[in-house]
Amino acid sequence: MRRLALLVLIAVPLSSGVALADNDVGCGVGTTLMAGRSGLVSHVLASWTNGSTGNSVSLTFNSFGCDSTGEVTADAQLRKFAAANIDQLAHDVARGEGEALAAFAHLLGVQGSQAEVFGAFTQAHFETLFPSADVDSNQMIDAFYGLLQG
Amino acid sequence: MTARARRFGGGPVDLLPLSWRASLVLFLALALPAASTAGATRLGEALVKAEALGLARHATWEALLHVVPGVFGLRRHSEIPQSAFFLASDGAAHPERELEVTLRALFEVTPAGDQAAHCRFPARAAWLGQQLGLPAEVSAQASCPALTEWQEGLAPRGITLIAPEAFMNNPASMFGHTLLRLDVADPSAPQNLLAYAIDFMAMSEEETGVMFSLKGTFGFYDGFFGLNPFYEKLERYADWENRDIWEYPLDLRNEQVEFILLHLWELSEIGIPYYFFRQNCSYQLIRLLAVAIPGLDFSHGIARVIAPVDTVRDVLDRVGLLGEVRYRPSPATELRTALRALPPDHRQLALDLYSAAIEPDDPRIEALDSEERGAVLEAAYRSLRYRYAKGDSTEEEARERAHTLLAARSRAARGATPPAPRPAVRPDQGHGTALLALAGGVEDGAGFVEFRLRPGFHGRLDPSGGFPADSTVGVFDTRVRWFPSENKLRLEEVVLLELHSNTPRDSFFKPATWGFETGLRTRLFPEDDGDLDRGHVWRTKGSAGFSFEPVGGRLLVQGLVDLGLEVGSGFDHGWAFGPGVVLGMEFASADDRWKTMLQTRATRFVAGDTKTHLQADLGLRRTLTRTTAALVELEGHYYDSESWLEARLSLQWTF
Repeated sequence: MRRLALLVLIAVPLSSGVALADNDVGCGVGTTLMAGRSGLVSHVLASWTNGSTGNSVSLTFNSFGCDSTGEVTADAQLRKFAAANIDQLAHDVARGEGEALAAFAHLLGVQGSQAEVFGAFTQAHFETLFPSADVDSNQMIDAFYGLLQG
Repeated sequence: MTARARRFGGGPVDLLPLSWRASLVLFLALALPAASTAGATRLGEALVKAEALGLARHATWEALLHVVPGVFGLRRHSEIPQSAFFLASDGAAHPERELEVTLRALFEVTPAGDQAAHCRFPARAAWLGQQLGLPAEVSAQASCPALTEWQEGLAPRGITLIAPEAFMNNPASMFGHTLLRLDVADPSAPQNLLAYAIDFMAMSEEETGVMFSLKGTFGFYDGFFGLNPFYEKLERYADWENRDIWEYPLDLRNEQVEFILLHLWELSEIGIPYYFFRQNCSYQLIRLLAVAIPGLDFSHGIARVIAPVDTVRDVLDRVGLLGEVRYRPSPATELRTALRALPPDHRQLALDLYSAAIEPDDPRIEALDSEERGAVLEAAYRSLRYRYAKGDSTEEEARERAHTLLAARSRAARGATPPAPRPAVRPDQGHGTALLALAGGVEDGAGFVEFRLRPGFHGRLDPSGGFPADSTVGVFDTRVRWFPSENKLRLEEVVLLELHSNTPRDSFFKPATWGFETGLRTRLFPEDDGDLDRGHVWRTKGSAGFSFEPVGGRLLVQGLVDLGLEVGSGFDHGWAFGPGVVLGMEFASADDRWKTMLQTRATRFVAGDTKTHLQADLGLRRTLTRTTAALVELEGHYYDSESWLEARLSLQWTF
């Protein structure tokens, strides 16, 4: 496990504010530093319309989190994605695989070939990442950074 | 964005109306005050060349302006009524004026980037520049910082057409939906969860369900294009609405993708009238793609509702696929698969775990090997999530339970998720959604010939491949009958809307079976002399009940109660109202080439004309070719102490 932690460490700039080198998801990908979210999101989202509720009908996206050169900070991307996908991430971490976990790994700069190792690593540390039912996505990410450093 | 829209919306560039004759155009262009004589000359040349090439009637220019033929193809005009979408004050009705004013604006020297015509309408500018061979200092004279930032932020590598299947429990979604994803990587790569999706949505702040559909039908709303992360779209369509999703990666060249985006930019904050049955999300996505895909159009004429699956077909007629079409099963489909994959005793353990009847440290769970335990906990967690999304437990309870189950799951073997089987027929491979039929038959001894048109969507006896299982939607289903013996043509039925959702129940899934219909029908009324008179009635009816699959997946049995109101001059007092009971069954062959259904119905009218109506229906469909089928249908009626029979043999064609 220690070797894996090193592998991830190399790929990920841990301090927030450092730009992700391989920025192929673009600056537009949600970068708002939003509040963390814990599992099982509210029923309110299950709206009964085909209208705009809960959706943006604007073509602009919030580019907050992009630094002056237009690059997204890895940490901001990671936090927004985790907040929106916390349920899927918890499920994927528990079984050690899945699309949301793979996208999370991608944001961290983990190579596709390392996805299995990454999956096994996170699964083994489920209870560190999600110590209680009320863990929100930001706490989970902080715990993840802690794992890598510890 | 707002500032730009306001500038062009508030004060369209308004020049003297010019004749579209080349010499005059040239003359006036030269005569107008311009920044420099050289610039004016070049503008004059461009105007002459644009006319000589007929650019104002070019398919791409019309696509860029969303110009469509008017009634009977007479008046060509834009479907977008907003002045912010045009530079010319009469651009919506006169593509040639818009072209002229656009060219003039391009030749104007503009100080600020984002405000300039080529920044507000970059696709028009790029296309005109290319067609007329304009130098870059004209068609792209200054940089457009906002546009450039937007393009670099999106940086798509390709476009995937996303088609969530129909969702019966929401009238707004009962035909399905389509959106576009701007892929950031190979179409199958997980990082496309992070990609942006283009969606055309009606703006309806508070309306829901039925009201949305009704208002949407008559164009009460404006629709707008929006960009949202794809994972947010999945959260709604997959996680909450449990719709299976199909992803079609389109084989488009980079220039096509770029041009589509430039046109999307032009549509920013532009409201487009939204009509539920035709000018809907799917229609507007086709209009958007059409600017870069020559010949892309609605191939099936006017006699149809535009259903999302039809637009998938129209796109695939013109654009190849870049690799495999991906099937993304919904959480409900995955749960069904996970439960079915378990042996019965393990399935019971999973359900007990989910309901907290037992805990993960139960000896029966600990006795399982690591992979079995993983599969059981997986099914238990998925059950919990499904039931939670249905609103069956509180957030706090569900959250605690989810954590307990997942923590136990993480201690079992990695993986162990059986993939949901991919349906044999993709939505675009199912039957055509419009139907024409020709039938011959006998009604109470009188022979007739019947013509039927159903513009949408899927009927009970139709082959089910590519459509959501066990649900039917019919709109504007119209039948006309000719009785040769009486030499009489008669409008038999116009059923505005008929919906049925017959999803079977099992030990875990407990969906309701329900139906709704409203429309014009023909009823036979016994007269005093014993004859039967045909009369029109308007029938509105709702039903609810249960469906089961008692012996596996091919036989469906159902029971429903219904309540209906019928209004027609043939009734005493002109109307009848009352409850009924319906029992039915359906059976399809394994290859779905034939299907039969039997249904009995008893209706007791308790108000208005108080009589009892008994009816039995038997139907049999035999598929002949991919688009044709033969049907035999029998009906028996007993009403007001008279009974009669009807038999029909029909040939139907779907397109």
